[in-house]
Amino acid sequence: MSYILVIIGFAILIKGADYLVEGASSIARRFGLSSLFIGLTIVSMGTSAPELFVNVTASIQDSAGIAIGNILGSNIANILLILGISAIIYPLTVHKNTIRKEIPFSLLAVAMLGIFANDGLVDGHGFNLLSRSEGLALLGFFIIFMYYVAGIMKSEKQEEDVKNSGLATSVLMLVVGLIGLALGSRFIVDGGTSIAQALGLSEAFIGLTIIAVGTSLPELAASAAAAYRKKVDIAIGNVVGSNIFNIFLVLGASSIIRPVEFSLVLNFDILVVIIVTLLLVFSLFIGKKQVLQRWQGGVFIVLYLTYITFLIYRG
Amino acid sequence: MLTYILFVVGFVVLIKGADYLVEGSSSLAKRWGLSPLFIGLTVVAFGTSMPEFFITAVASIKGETSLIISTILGSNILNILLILGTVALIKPLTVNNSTVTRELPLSLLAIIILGVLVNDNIFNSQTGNFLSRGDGLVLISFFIIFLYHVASVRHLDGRNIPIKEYRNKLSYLMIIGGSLGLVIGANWIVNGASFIAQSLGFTETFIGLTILALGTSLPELAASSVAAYKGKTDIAIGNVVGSNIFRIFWVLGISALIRPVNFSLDLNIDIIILILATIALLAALFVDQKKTLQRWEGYTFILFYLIYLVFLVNRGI
Repeated sequence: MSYILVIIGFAILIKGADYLVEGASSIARRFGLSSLFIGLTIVSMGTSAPELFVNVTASIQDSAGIAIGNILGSNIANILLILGISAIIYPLTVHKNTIRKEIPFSLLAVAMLGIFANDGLVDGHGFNLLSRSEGLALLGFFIIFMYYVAGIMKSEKQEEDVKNSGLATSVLMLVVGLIGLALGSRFIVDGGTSIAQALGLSEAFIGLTIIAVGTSLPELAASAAAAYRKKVDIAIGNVVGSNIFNIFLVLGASSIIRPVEFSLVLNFDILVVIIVTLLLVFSLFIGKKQVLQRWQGGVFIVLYLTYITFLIYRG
Repeated sequence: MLTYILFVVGFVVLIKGADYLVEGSSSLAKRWGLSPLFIGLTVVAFGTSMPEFFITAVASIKGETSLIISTILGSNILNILLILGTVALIKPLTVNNSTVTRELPLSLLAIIILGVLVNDNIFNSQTGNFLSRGDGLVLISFFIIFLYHVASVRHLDGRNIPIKEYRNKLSYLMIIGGSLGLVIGANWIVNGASFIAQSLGFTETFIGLTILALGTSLPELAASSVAAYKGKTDIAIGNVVGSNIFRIFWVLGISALIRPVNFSLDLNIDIIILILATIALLAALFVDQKKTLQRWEGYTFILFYLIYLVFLVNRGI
């Protein structure tokens, strides 16, 4: 039963995010907001709404292990699994900006998370948590990142294909989307915690694996489809961007809504995110430069399976 | 009496020390074949905030932490209202695009982040308000992003910074002498400040916001006035905004790492004033002639600063 709940939850969650983005962007266009602003909203809401809702739900239901686990797991799956699969479909090329700016920024993000979560180590407090002010600091970094993204969008002058639905339809989509997100994440968190209890697994484990992969499914579909159509130059940038969003926007917002407790076991997974990101940089420099080749994709997938095996042994 | 004299002399020693340190190390860096961009970024940029850096570091080590945040806030407010105000009187100031769209917003973000990090009572319902080591690391991370930005802007400019070359021995001597001057000067100033506070009954916060703020901003005042006088008005605002960002992200970041800094809630008003001053600068650049700080706006800024001083005295020296 819990399995079905989780699966249905993901379907509702992902559809909900779609509706939210469509409704919101069509309303924004009606009110005459700039296409830059709309573009930014589409990107940030589209990639982050599922994770954000799952995290906030988890945090409200006192399943904090799911919240940070979900983010770290997503970031690891994003690089190893999604980029691995996409690179096998077709070798991925990368923009210079991604290597020079976005990947360093994503490293800064996870380092920041490590510092914030380890109050015990850094400040000598007794408890480790992401406090409200730390959440605000994460959002501060997020603002800088959005500034940077806006600069790129401006220079590329992309056209967003915003569908012009009627106002009533748009509002309806927005509302239905929000309800879908809330309901879907409720199903996922409930289902996830009961699976964890039934199988004797920790919440962090469920967050790092099932929920992380589930919330990353849209990214996987999009990247794989892009690779299949040989539109390979955006895949790595999208994945790195989504890793940055996950930490700065999702964790930032969820810890403002409710401070998130951090279990020290997850320090290892923080380290894994850092190593995996460095590995991505490294792969882009050996062999063909600025290309993630097929065999490297294969290695990434093997590493992901190793990581999952390790998680199972950790319990 | 000696303490007073040393206090005043301390500023001279401190500022001269920073000069020597910058000149000595840039000359050495040039001899080693480092790029002017790198030298400009590291040596010159860090050099201009050296006086504040040493004062807060010494105050931090001596445990006089109430001097730290007040000095930084005081110099940032003074930088915008008094220095830019004065310089705009000499010649209306024009400004670079990147200053308006990137650096000014970032300096606003800097002060807001500082406000969030020090007000633990509001955001985290904790009892003690202070800038912890973790907070210090946050500030330094923002600082890294800022350096990245500065590096790419300077890159675009291709602006070469004139660097004098000295003989190696002389450079080393300048570096050692400069560093000594910074340490000794900062010591005299911190000692003097806490002595004046005790003997005349001022609060350390007041001393930091006024005298120390003014003393540490003298080099900027001199440099900006000279630049405006020579007609190089486009860098004055950029420099002031840049050094405001430097002070919060870098100087406060490091001093919180050395020792967590206590924050007195009174200073929240000064944080708000700094936010308002920064917004006023942004607004002034958009009123009338775009991207120019005009004479009358300069007068207004100076007037604002005087009002702020009156407020400070009334709040309780």
